[in-house]
Amino acid sequence: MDTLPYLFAGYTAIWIIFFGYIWWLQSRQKQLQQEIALLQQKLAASEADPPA
Amino acid sequence: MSSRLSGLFAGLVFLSMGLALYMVFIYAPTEAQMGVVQRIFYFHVPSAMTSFLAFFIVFITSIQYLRTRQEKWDQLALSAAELGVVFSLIVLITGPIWAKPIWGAWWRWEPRLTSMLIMFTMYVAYLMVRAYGTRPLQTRRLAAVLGIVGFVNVPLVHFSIELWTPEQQLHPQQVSLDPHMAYTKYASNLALFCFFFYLLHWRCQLEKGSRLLAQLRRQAEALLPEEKR
Amino acid sequence: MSSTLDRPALGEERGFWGAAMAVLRKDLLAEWHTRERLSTMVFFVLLTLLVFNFSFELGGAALHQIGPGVLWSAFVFASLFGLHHTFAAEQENNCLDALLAAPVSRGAVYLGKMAGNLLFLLVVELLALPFFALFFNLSLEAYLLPLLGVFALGAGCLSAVGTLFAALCSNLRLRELLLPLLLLPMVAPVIISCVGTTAMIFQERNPEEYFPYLRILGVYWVLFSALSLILFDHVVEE
Repeated sequence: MDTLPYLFAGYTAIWIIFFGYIWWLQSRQKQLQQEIALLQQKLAASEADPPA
Repeated sequence: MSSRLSGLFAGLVFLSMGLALYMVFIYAPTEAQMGVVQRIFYFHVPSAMTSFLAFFIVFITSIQYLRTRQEKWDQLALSAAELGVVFSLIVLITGPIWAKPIWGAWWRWEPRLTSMLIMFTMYVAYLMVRAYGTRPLQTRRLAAVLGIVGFVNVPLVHFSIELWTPEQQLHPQQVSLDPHMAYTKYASNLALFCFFFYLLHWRCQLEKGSRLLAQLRRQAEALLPEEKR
Repeated sequence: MSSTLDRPALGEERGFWGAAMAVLRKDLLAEWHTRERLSTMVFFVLLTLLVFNFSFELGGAALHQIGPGVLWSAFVFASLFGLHHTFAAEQENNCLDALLAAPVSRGAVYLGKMAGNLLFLLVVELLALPFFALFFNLSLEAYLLPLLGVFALGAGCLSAVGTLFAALCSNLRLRELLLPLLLLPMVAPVIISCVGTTAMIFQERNPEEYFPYLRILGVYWVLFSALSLILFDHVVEE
């Protein structure tokens, strides 16, 4: 019996899961960096134009 | 960890993974009975071991968090739990893919697979408690309790299922491996452990950053005037 | 409820076991007055047995194979109701805060609650048994003593872990959903062992054969009671 298709399916599944998780980490990291940038912007704006 | 060290570690992961893959697909001989699909074994078994390691880390860090209430233990616990679920998922998916041509069925209710499935559901529930908790400090405490209780349950699950289906010992119990196969298994074990610790570190840093950000945002909202928001 | 949890007289300490007994008495008295938990649980078990009967067409040889599983599934699901109730009533009237503020050890509260859950579950199991025998045409007199043993062990294990998890979930959103999600994987060894033992009892096997299951149940009970006793503090603190 040719079991090669199963081997292929197995390792494809492994890489999909690993890269899926890595992609998820990357997107969270990007989101985090965007929010930091936004916060920095707000703080800078507040300093440039101090409240009355 | 400094970024230089981090870079070196990433290099180590890349190299070990490359070596493991070479050994799995080229160096290791094809198994006589099962054919090429047996090569799944080299990632299936180490993934199982890695998930156990991950859940053990959850256990230890949960105890430490309850004892010291230091954030770092909780961050580690969450990260390890997530990774444990990821690696368990790999075991649960590669297992049936391997089983179908060999045992003739996608699933059998035999000890190791069933224990793995139950462990997987326990830690998915752990992650759900984390996600649906409303008060952060309380959620962390509760999750730590789960992390401890869940891990203690693992051997009990395993023994009870073994008693229940002794005739279903489809997993080979003791395998004496051909030396080439043994080396390949060590190599892929090493690769997966390195990969696990790399991901653990990354996830932990992410969590630390995320919490720091939440704290800073709260401080900023307190300081900044209303109309600026 | 303040009359049943009398403040100790000046200088008189209630003590650990006394406090546990007081909590147990309070819950038992509350249940005696309303009988809502017990009646709901028993009725639910009966309904579950009915549903399983439709689903599996039980009778004859199939019964001995599926019967124990049906019985214990019904018990486990019913216990989820009872466990959820353990702290739900307390929360409604803010009794939990009062209970925790009282000069009693948290562990005593856990023990009292666990004993209450154990007793309720055991009563439900015993009340359900004659109906099970009736619906499925079994004569269970010969098995009564070993069945009592496995019922007690099963109830003990389910209460030990269930009480801790009920307290845990009472603090969370979606508590009704999360309790089963958390508890069912946790009690898998209990279900497996109880069903295995009950099946062997029905098959009139030698007690030696199901002793390994009983051992797992015993270890489980002791281990998780001790663990829950220690961890309960962390679960209920504010």
